[in-house]
This record gives sequence, C-alpha cells and structure tokens, in this order.
Amino acid sequence: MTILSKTLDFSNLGQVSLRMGDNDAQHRWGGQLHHGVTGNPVRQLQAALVAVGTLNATDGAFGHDTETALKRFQWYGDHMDYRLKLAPGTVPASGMIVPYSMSATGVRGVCGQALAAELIAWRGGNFVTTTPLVRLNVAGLSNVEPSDTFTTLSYPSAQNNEILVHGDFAEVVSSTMDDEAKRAKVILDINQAFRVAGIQPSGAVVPPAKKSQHLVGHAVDLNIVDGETTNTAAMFKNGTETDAADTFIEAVKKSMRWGGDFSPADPVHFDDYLDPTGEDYGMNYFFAQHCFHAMHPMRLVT
Amino acid sequence: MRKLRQVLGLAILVTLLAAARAQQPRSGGARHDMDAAFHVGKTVVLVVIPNRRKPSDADESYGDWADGLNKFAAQAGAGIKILKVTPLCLSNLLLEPKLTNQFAILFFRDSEHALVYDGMVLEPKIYRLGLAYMRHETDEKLDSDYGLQDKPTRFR
Repeated sequence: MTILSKTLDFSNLGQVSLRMGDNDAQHRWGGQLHHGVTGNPVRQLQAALVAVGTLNATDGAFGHDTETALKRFQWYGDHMDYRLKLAPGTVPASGMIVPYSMSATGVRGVCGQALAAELIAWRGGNFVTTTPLVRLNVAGLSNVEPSDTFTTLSYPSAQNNEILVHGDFAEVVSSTMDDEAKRAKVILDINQAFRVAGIQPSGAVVPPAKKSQHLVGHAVDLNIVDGETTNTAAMFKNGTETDAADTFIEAVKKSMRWGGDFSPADPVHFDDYLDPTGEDYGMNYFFAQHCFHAMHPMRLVT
Repeated sequence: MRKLRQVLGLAILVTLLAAARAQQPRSGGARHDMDAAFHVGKTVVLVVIPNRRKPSDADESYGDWADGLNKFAAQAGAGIKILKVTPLCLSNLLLEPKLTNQFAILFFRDSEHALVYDGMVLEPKIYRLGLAYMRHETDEKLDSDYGLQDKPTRFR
C-alpha cells in the first residue's frame, strides 16, 4: 500500500484501516510500515474512543485495549438505539438521552475511513455511549410491585417503584410476566433486579458470581404472592406452593428460565438468559456496569 | 532386646494415637470465637458453607445466595459476629441441631437458641427474620413460612 500524503490523519485515513499492531511511533498503520510518513492516527482514534466512553487512555499503540474499545463502539452501533448528549465539561448525570442509529460499522476491531468519520461526528456532537439499562416503573404494572425488602439502588434518578433492568428485559417483565401474573391472579413481589458487580466494600463473606444474569439486568428475584400466601423458596422445596404459583411459572417458562429448575434450586429467580460466554453478554456487562458507576441517566419505562 | 521391642511398640502406639487424634475433625476455632462474642454481648450468625471450589460464575443459585449473604454481612453491624464454618466443622461444634444441607445459616440469640435455615438462603426476608429473632422479636408464622426453625442448641 502506498500513502502519497506525508501526513496520515485520523480524519483522512484514505485506504488505511487502523488495526491491532499499528503504532504511531513505529509509523506502522494498516498493518504496514510507512517510512517517511508522519502522523498520530492511532492516538487520535484512541482519543475518540476515550471521548465516547469505551477506552480509558491513549498511548499511540493499537493493542488489546484499543481493539476491545473499538469493538465495544462497533457493537454499540449495531445494538443500541440511544446515546447520551453531554454539554462540554459536564458530568454524565446531566446528559440527555437521545435516539440514534448507526449504519454499517465494518469489520470488528478494525477502523476504516467510514468508522473514523462516525467517531469524529460523535466527538463533534458531544455524544457518548450509554447504558442498556432502563428504570422500569412497576407502579404502572397491574401485578408487579417491589417487595418490602426491595432496596432501591443508590442512583441519582432512582425513585421508589422503579427497578433497574435491561431495556429488552423490561419488555419481558412488563408484558410476559405482568400478563401471566394477571392471568394466574398472582402478584409478583420483586426482591432484586439489576445487581452491581463486585464485592461489597466491607464485610464481604464469599466471592460473588461474576457472570450472573443480574449483572446485565436480565434477571429478577421475586416471590409469587397468591392472595394472603407468599410462595417462599421453602414452600417450593416442600412442594407446598399454591396452584396459582405453578400456573404462573408454567406459563412464563415458555419464554424464560425459572430458577426452580436449576440445581441447586433457586425458585425465586427468573431470567431470559443471555449466554454468559457470548459477545452480547460481555458488551452489555461493560455498558451496564460502567455506565452505572459513571452515573449515566437512564430512560424511564412505564 | 525384649525391652527395646516394648519401647518401640509403645512409641508406635503413641505415634498412631497422636496421628488419629490429629485427623479428628475439629470445629476450627469457631467455639472459641462464639464464646468470645457471647461474652461481650454480641449475637452470632453461623454460616455453613461447603468446603469446595467456588461454583461456576454463571451459577445463579450461588450468585443469589452470595449476593444476599454479602449484603447482610455488610449491613449487620458490630453487634453481630458472623462466622463461616464447613458442614463438618458444624457437626464437630454442635450436637444439636443436626442439619442435612451443605448450606445453612444459624442465627444465635444466645448460646442455647438459634433460628435455623437448613439450605441456601435466597430471600432477603430470611435475614430480616433472623435479625428480628436475635432481637427477641419472633414471628413464628412468618419464620415457618420461610422455612426457619427455632431450635435449641447443644454444643459438644
């Protein structure tokens, strides 16, 4: 490949596609050495990825972290319908969630001219990647409510009656679960939904599970309340749960997993299973956890 | 020669007895820690956890149990001593109650009474009921619904 220009710039990559192994200091771009050409396109790519929130720092060397950050941005473009608009110098909590769509994002982990233009446009518009989580206001649902042990997560915009879940799972809770609960004439008392990763700052007794569906907002723990009876884990263990609870579980199991089928059994757990070994799990995990800690605002779903 | 044989035999016997004693399962110092806690007016929570490798990171039952336990431990406060023991350690510590599960929790009100859950705790309400029990605020109906049993305890 020949580069005619004496300077290679991220805004004008031409035929060069930045990739793993490229390095500004070594004049290696597009997998080839370009003696006599100057520029910092890798550092500029990294600065753009830092700006959109998928990378932490720049060093001019396209290594594993840069490739991962680029893949995150590309995955985001393929899967997410919203992004955050931030006024310069402000914190994410003050950002505005706006709808958006990205066309082709190209080969994963490689940045060509089109993707560079997209990143530059994001940066120019002060847009950043944001969370797949939403605030689901269960007060708007007829048969779902927070239990008396439900703890609202410490979050700027969090309100009572709101549970944090993945946007896709919010639809499962508000349609499948609420509808089937209505049919079975039971109330779903939510104990927990999204879970923040990591060990508690103090007093941790055991290591947590690192690939739970709760960590990506795809699970809820709940008790099924049938009239005056709260169906507890012990009742399922003893086979004394109510018929209505069984009816509800059989109905939702057509599209979800019930923890009562696990070994050991976890009868209060329901999820719609995102393969924890797959790319989608890893990406959702990153954006959900990272943006939670960065206090991004979340869409309210009612 | 005969005396030498006797001395050797005795030495072997002593060694075997010592080895057998060393292999006897112990309560891992839990009794001492419990006594110390009771002595200064603390209540005690014994968490029974099997001594094995941590389950898969995608194990939701383990994940729910671990998350609930860690949250409880983080919020328990200085007045509660939380001790981890293995099922073997527990059986060497207590004559009663006898538990059947590999996971369990015992909320000790004092050295003679405990509210027991024989299994993995998956509901935060159980910790709330355990705390209430240790404050002498028992709701027998709720305890029973959630599988909790008020048991007399007897140490070895």
